[in-house]
Amino acid sequence: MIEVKAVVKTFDGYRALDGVTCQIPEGCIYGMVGSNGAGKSTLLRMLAGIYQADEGEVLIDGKPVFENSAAKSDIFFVPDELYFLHGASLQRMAQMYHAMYKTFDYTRFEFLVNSFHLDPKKPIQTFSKGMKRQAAIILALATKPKYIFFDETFDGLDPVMRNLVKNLICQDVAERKATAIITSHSLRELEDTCDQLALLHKGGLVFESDIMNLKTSLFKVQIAFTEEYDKDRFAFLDVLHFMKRGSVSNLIVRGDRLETTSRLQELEPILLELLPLTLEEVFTYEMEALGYAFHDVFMEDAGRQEVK
Amino acid sequence: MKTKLFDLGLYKEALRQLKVIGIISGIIMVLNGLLAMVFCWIEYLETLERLNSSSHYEELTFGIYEASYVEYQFMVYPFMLIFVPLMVFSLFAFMNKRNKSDFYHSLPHTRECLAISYLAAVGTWITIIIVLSGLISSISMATVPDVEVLWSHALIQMFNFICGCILAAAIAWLAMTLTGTLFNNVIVSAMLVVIPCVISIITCLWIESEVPYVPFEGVSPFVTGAYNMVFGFVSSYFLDYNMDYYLETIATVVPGLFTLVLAVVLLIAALVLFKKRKSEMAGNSAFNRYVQAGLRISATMMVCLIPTTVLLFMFADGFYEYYSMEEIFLLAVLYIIAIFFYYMYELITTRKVSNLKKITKGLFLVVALNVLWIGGQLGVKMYYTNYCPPESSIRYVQVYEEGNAYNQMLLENIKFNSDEMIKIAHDSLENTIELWKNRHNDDEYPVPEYLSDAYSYYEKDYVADTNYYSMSYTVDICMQTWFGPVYRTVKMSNDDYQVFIAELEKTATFQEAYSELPEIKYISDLYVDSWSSYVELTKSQLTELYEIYCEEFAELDFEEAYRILNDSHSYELGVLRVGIEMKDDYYSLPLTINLQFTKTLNALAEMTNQKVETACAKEGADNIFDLIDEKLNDCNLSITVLEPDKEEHILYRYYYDSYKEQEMSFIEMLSEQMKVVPDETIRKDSNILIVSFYSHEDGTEYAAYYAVDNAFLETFKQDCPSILDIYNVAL
Repeated sequence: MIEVKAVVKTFDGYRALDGVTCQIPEGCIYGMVGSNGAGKSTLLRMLAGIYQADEGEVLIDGKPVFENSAAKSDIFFVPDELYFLHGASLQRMAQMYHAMYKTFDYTRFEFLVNSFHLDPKKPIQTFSKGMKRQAAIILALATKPKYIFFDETFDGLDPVMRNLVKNLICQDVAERKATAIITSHSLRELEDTCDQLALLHKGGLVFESDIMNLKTSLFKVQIAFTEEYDKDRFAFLDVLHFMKRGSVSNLIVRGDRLETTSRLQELEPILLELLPLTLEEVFTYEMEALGYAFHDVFMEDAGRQEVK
Repeated sequence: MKTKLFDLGLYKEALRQLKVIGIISGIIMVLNGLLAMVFCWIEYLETLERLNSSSHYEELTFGIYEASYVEYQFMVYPFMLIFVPLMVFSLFAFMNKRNKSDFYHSLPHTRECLAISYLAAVGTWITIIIVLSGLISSISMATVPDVEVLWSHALIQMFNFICGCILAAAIAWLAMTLTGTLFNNVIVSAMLVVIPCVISIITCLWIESEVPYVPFEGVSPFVTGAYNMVFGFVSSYFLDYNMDYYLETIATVVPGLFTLVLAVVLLIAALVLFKKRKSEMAGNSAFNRYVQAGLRISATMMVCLIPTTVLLFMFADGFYEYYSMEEIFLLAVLYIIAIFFYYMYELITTRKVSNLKKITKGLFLVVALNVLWIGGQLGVKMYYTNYCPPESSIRYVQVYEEGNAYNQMLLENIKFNSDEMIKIAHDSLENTIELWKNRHNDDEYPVPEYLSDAYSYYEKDYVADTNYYSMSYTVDICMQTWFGPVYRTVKMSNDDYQVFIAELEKTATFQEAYSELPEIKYISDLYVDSWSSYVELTKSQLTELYEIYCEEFAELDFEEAYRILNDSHSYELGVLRVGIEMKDDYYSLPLTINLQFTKTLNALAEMTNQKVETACAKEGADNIFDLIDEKLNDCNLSITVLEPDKEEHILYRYYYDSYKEQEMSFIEMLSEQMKVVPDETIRKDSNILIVSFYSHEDGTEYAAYYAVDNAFLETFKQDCPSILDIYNVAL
């Protein structure tokens, strides 16, 4: 298990992490999302033992990770800015990792190289950006670490490769009880892969939850009545968001679906429909409930709409 | 679980990463040694050709070139100062870039383990390259016939240079732990090497100019940096006489050991910094703002050394009674340059204009350091001026003869430790110090001229006393101190000198040094120089002559042997001009042939007279005078007769004058007289006849030596038509 306890990290007066606390259980795929400068990479580097916290502590399996070679031998970190030895090929890098990590598996390495269709003898610097990411992922997965951290790794991958990597990570987590942490500024990327998600903003952990729980506990209700009504009619529900257009209202409700459906049916609406929410919509409304405007926090592509 | 300090995987990885630089530098080092061997072979073959050519008879043998490791493996210096830091910069380049730094710090090793494993790889490459290239080049040099490889020196110097390279690596790595960009790495590395050198050089030059009896070697080797394999070499270029001293110093393991200790200290300091260093520091100009300030101020102090040195010499001894506006202006300009440098350093290394205002208060520290430096130098001068070691601290004295290089070579390794010599040297030093300290008080402490030219330059009045004059001997006193041997140079008055030399000549080690001459293999060239310039001998004759001379020399008592090697030389009977190649140097040694060397003289006579006898047989002449009788029209002819006396011989020299009729008849008379001279070998009490003849008509030349009887001598003295040169000679 990974424990982060009130961690603070400052760079030249800039507070990159401000008292972050979280727990990441074993055997899960944990997603971290946030805008640029939110502190995702910093937190990941602290988990990897690269940075030392100015305050608080980072524990992995109960032990501090900084300058702890035993703890670090269970960790593999794939950074956003990749680095490979100058002029090295995949083979050469595998050789290096084989020397560093006892768990490095050459058989798995060869399997992965074939799966990704990369030339292990070619210098990595001649690869494209996407291929370099694939190379980094291959080396990470071949090492078979207990904890594997990907910092915005999927950003350069095409959908096919992304699926492949996702399946491989899931396989590792399922078979070896490995723990993966993936950071991204794209919710859509993490939606299908992660078990848990956390949202970071300006160095703080804003929101953290199990994805399934998120998706099932929050849903949209479309309801209509013939008579006039307002929001108060639904006071018995945990309504995060209410919007009425004519006689039809859209509600974002947190709670149990069946119970909510049953109680709404008692009101005898002329229209009652429960619709699932995308993860993005879930985040939007959860953050709104916390007092954050989604658009301020989260810069996404043009399809998103601002919720008032 | 115990933390590992060394990881084999990391070590092997580092070895691999250094492969390219290692192989390139190794090839350069090996090629250097092989090229040196090739040059030696070329020189050997050229010498062989010359020796075989009859036109170069002076060159007798090859001589022996004692090859010193640093001479044939001179690339070890660029290797130490360029390639080794390059290895460190390349291997630890991750410290300068954020993504690389993060990568390495994410690896499952502690920083100590990473650093130690990587540094071990650097040390391995250094050792392999120096040992392999050293052995290859030494073995290849040994194949050259006239080269003698000094194996023990080579091994010691290889060890010393390995230690020097480790220090160079430590300096480069320390610089990297203090800074975060390649530019700053290089600048700070250079500063770490140059700043101590410059301080050492200025201190030494200052002391040497202000305290004449403290030679360069008299300053502690820890100050001069002579024991430091990196600093010592760099500073030796600036103090040109230091190069020999530096080369002598590195002939022992002491510099290597000292350098290694220093390297370990720096490595430990760098390791502490490396552990404290944050990965996010990569790319920053310095470890933190305090280190940045320290580096900036240090660099500025380097520039300030110029104006402070000007100030020091202006204030020295109150020598300048007034200060000219030019000097003040010069100082002002120099300090303005220093201030400009202060700000430019910050701007170039941090590239932040906003810092310039913040760093202004650091200038006060620069001013304080300037004051401290000047005060420190004046204090150092005061110490060296006043310090006279107790007699008990003097271990030995060494003597350096300024005139005769061969004598100096014999003396340089002899350490004289008799109580009398030490006492005389100590008393002379005490006297010198007292005189120098009080030299401005002219009436009470007149400064003798013998002290040195430097003294007289500063003196307005001094007593010129015939009892004191500049000696040909300078005596170096070696003192045993906590910091190792230090030296003082003492020049002595004539009286003290005579006593000192008398003691010197009693010592067995001194006498032993003069007991024999170098073997023939060390003699590179040889010829006979005499009053007669027509003594031409073959190489085998010269070799035979020298070997006979060496045998007779070995039989001499000490006083006579010493006199032969030191006194001015009489040409009358001949001088063997010997060129000796040994101990990496060439020495010219004139060896007088006098009546102590009768075997040599007789051998010389036989060799020179052989030509005369052959010519006489061919032309039917009875003797040399008969032989030259027909060629007297246009010739150079001198006849010398030496008459033995109790202490000195009387020499009669006659020059033939072809314009006078009676000259020819005199020669005829000598010819007649010569016929009755018994054929005898030359003895110590013999009258010796030397004839030197050259004909301008046909180029015929003869030189001959004979023992003649008193009848010949009387005929010569009485019937000589020209005025004889008559003088006494000591042979």
